[in-house]
Formats: sequence, C-alpha cells, structure tokens
Amino acid sequence: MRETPLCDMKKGEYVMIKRLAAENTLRRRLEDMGFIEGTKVRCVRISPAKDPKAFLVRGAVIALRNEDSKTILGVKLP
Amino acid sequence: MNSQKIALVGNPNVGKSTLFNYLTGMKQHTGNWSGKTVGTAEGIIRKSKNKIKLVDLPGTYSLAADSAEEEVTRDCLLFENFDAAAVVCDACCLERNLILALQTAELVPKVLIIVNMMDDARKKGIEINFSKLEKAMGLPVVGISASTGEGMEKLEKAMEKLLEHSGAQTFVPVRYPKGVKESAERLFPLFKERYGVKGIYPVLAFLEGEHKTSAAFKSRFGNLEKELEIALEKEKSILSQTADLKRISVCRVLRAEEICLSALSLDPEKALKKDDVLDSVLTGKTFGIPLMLILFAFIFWLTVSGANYPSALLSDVFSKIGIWFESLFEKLEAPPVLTSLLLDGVWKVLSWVVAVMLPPMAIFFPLFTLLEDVGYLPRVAFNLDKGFKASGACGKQALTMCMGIGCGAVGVTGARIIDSPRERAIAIITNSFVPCNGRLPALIALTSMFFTDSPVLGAFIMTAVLVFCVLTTLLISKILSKTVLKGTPSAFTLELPPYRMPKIGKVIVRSVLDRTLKILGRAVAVAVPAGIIIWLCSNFSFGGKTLLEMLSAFLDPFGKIIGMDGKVLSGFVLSFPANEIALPIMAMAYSGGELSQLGTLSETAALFFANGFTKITALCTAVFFLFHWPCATTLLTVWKETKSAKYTALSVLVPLITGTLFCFIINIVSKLFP
Repeated sequence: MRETPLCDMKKGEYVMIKRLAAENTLRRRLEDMGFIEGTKVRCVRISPAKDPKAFLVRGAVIALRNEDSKTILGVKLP
Repeated sequence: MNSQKIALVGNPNVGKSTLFNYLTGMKQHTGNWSGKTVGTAEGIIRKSKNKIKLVDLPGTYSLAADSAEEEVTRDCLLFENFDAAAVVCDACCLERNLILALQTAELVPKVLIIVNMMDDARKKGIEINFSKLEKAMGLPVVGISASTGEGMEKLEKAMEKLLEHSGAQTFVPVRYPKGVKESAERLFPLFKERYGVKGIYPVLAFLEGEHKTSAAFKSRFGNLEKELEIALEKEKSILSQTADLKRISVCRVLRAEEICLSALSLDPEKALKKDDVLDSVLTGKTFGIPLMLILFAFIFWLTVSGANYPSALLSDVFSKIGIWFESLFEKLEAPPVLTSLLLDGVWKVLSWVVAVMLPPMAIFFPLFTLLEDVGYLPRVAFNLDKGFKASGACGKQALTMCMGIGCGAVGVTGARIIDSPRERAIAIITNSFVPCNGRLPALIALTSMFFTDSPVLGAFIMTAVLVFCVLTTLLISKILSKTVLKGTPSAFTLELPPYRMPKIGKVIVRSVLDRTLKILGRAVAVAVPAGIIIWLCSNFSFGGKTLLEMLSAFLDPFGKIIGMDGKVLSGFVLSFPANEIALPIMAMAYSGGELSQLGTLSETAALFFANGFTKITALCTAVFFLFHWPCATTLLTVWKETKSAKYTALSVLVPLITGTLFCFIINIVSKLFP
C-alpha cells in the first residue's frame, strides 16, 4: 500500500501510522505525543492557511506544521 | 519532623495549577491552554497533618524536555529530592497522559496517579475503572475534579498514605526488549552509585541517546566517569545490532495503550463532536480569521463603551475629594508647597491613573480571561502560525503576545513555552510590540480624546491598532530572523484543548481581584513617587528653568523630527518605571507644572490642543506609545530570562528604532501632503 505523509491528509481522513522518518528530538517528541507505528490518526482541523493541521491522536488534538507532519508516514484507512 | 515534599507533575493544561491552588489555598493564575505555569510554585497542603509541601512543576509532555520550562520540570525530578511525585492526568485524554506517568514512575520511587477532570469525562461518556487501572499500573490512582472539589478528601488521604508507606511500590514496569532491559539492569547500579539516581529512566535516556538528558547530567556533574562511559558504550554496541534502542519510548506508548484498553471505555470521536462544529467555524478557512477580528473588536467595543461612564464618574469623585482635601489643608494651615506637592503632584497623578486605567482594565481583563478559560487562545496560535512560520518564528508567539496584552513582563517570562532558543529570543525582543495593560487604556484614552468619541469607531480603531501591532511583530520577527537571529523555524507541536464551559462568576472575581487590582496596585505604587518626582521636576528651577522644561527643551528638536515635541518625549522618558504615567506627565508638562487642568478626558484633550497638538501629533504619540521601549519591570525580566546583555539591549533598541522610523515617516508624509 502507498504511504501517505500526514501533511497530505484531508480533513476527516484516517491513517494508520507505518513509520516515522524523523530523527532525534523531533522523533522523540512525536513519539511521546503518541505518534508511533500502528497508531490510528485522524486529521481533524486544518488552519485557514492549510498549515498547520491538527490530528486526533490517542484522544488529544495536536497541531503540527506540515514540514513536521510530513515525517510521519501512514496508510489511509477507509 | 522534616516536612515531606511531593512534586506535582503532568501534561500541560491538565488542571495542575487549579489543583495546587485548591490544596494549598494559594492563587496561581490558571487558564485553558498549555504553559500557564512557568517556574515552580511551592505551598503547604492546608489540611495535611505533617505539613506536606507541594511543588507545582511546569507542564510537560515528556521528560525528554524541549523547551526551557520543560527543562525546569525535568531537572527538578532528576536532581531534587522529592519524597514522592503526583502525576496529574486529564481523564479525557488519559492514554497520552500516562506516557509521562510511566516516565515519572521510572524516575521517582513513590508515585500517585491523579485522574483529574472526571466531571468533563463523564459528560463525554468516558468510563474509568479505577481498580483495574490501579492493578494494571501497580500504583495508587485517585479520580478527582479539581474545579468542583470532587474527590479531594480522598486525594489528601491518598497523599498522606503514599508518604507514610515505606518500602518500594508495586509499580508494574514497562516491558522493554530483553536486551534493553538487561543492559539497563547492568548499568543501573553504576548510575545509582555515581549519581544517586532512584529509577531506571535516566539510564534508558543515556542508552537511547536522548542527548538533552545526558547534557543535563553533564552540566550538573561534569563528564561521565571513564568507567561509566566505557560500560555505557559497551552496552550500546551490544544493543546497536538490533533496532531495540529505538523502541524504548515506543514501548511506553504501547504500555499506556495497553493500560487504557483494560481500564477505560471511551469513544474519542464522540467526545470531539461538539468541538468539531465550533472549530470548523473558529479555525475554518472562511471564518477563522474574520471571526477572530470580530471577537477582538467586540471585546474592545465593550471595553471602550463600558469604560467611558465609570471613568468620568471616578474622575469627578476624585476631583471632589481633591477639593475637600484642599480646604482641609487650608484649615490646617499647611505650607503651600506641601499642599501643592500632595494635591497637584501626588493626588492628581494618582486619581488620573485610577480613573483612566481602572474601568477599561476591569472590563477588558474578565473578557480576555473568559477567552483564555474557554480555550480559544490556542486556536489563535493555530490560525496565525503560518504567518509566524513565514517570519521564522514560532506560532506559540501568538500566545506570548496575548500574555503581553496582560503584562509585558508576563509575556517575556511566558516565552519559555517556545522550544527553540532562537525563536524564544524573537518572542522576547518583540514582546513590547503589543500594548500591555499600562499602554492599552492610555491608547483608548488617546483614541477617544483625539480621534473619535464613538465607541463603535473606537473599537474599530483599537482592533486596527492590534492588527497593526501583529503585522509589525511579524515584520520585525522576519527582519530579526534574517539578521541578528538567523535560523530556520524549528519543530512546533501545539495541543488544541477541548473547549470548556468557563465558570463565569469565578472568572470575573479572579480576574478583577487577582489581575486588575494587582496591576492597579503596581500602577498606584509607581504613581505616588512618580507624582512627587514629576512635581519636583516641574516646580524646581535652575536659572529660571524647571527640570522638566530643561529636559523638554533638550528633547524638543528630536521630538519635532518625529512629529511630536520635547514635552511628549519627556513623558515617555520619565514614564520608564511604568507606562501608565506617561500621559499625566505630558499633561503636567503642558500645564507648566500645574495639574489643575488634568480632569476628564475632554479637558485633557483641550489642554493638549491648546499646546499645539494636532491629529498628526496625536497619531505619532499613539504610534510611539506602541513602539518605544519596555518598562523597567519588563526590561529587568528580559535580563533575568535571557541573561544576555545583547538581547536586553535589543529589547530596547528594536522597538525604539521601529517607533522612531514610523513616526518619522508619518511626520514627513504629513508635511509633504498636508
């Protein structure tokens, strides 16, 4: 299946995270926010300028800039 | 017996400060967004038998700290001797909160889990099985609602029991890959002996190469000992053959998920439904930004129109009291100099500050606090982040700017929520570009004195002023990040908390008592000595000229170039201790030391006009009010926060140059196209 970066998600779409391309500090921070392999994420808010976007992850809504969320790769869920 | 210490830990915005206030009876300011607590606060739990000391640590998502305020929490937990830690979790978002709880339990020997906001969780249909949760974690768990007081007795008992209990807790450890677990167990005794660490967390941080934690150890204890270094490298090389080292933090997330699966029933989608509707409007493409402007315009309209009447009333009452004092002094046959000093100096300045400042503050602050409590401010940051990113700054700067509307010094301290030191410096240097409460009422006064007496138009002008401030902040941030503070924007994570119904009565009481009166108190404390000094400056003369006249004459040529005059500039210079007193000083300078004409706003306006004030002078004064230099308190805070002479100097120079340029341009343009 094709991998989609989180930054390309449309509002309301679901994704299952496959892997994180980020390294070091950013990776650790994303992991501690709950973005890890196998996590179901839904894109819930898109700001007026389309960047940042906010995601529902493990019960919390977290906004990420596109350049950061592009390091999170997942497959789309129906 | 020595009193025992408990650390209060938790993710940002989980109600730690509310809980802290409840237990200790102190008054830390709280709000529905990340990063209200900067620095630590200590208090004694009122009802505890043994005077348990409670330490409120800044909120953090992880012990792998990113920002300055998170480092405070990490360092406290790593190096301070706490008897126990209480991890406050949001019941609505338990899973993510437990990640930090697990890290804390790996660091502090005694841990209590507090599940807060049970009332909100119930409304959202979240059910928590506490006995299952306790069993799954092997730690005591208490469910509470700090805002309503639910479960507080149970919590206080649980805290006492936790401290009385001797011996190890039954914490069920996270299951790490076998190799990692064995390596950590081999290294732990060495770390314990050398650094006195009480849990496995630091060892794991060293193993996975979480360099900020290792750097914290280094800066505290110096380089690792050779023996430890070798042992660590050996374990790392064994482990590097597998991907296990990258799995350490993942294991905690999975463990949190597992715990929640066993003890929790919820439907996060359902919990979000109501917010979805609100947010699709408030952060939507079409309405997000226009609504934000309308909201601020509405607040300003309420402030401007609501403040007029009480302001006039207050100034009337004060002048009547002044007259009464005057006759009293006459009867007492007080020396005229003293009467003049006290009445024309102290009393006039004091009453002006109170009459002009108090009403707008008493209206603006509760409204603003309401926005804060509802959870709207993070949405402002969310909406505006793109602009800040384009300026090489952090979207959270929108939050520090909001704090700056309250008080510049608070905004500067609040910049700790920004992760990157470079972006934090930008936020600090540009903080004085938003009008603080010392300048906001003065600007409102200037607007109604010189431009319009219609509240609607006034609100429109004030909103335009705020937009102008934000745009200038963005522009200057961009210039800073291209010149003295070069760099690219760093990672940005911002939680959008659920909207909460604010407790309106509480908000009003708290914002009036805690904020408005406190700030007013400061203004009054400054106004009294300032009144004396200003009076002395304008009444003592050398060679036929008073000090104020000398200063005004000295500044006059410079003032004329930028559309003002020496007297206005003297007002700015002398109001360095507090911006609140700038306008009264200008009025004093114009009236030649006699403050008799300083009464209502229209009287003051007449005084200014009589001394050659024009709309252009007023405009330049207003612009210079926005951008000149931070007050003494704020500047001191900049120095304390950055410990950098360069940043402190920039905090003065950047707004000064900006304001001077703007005023110069306005002046030139007005001369060319009269």
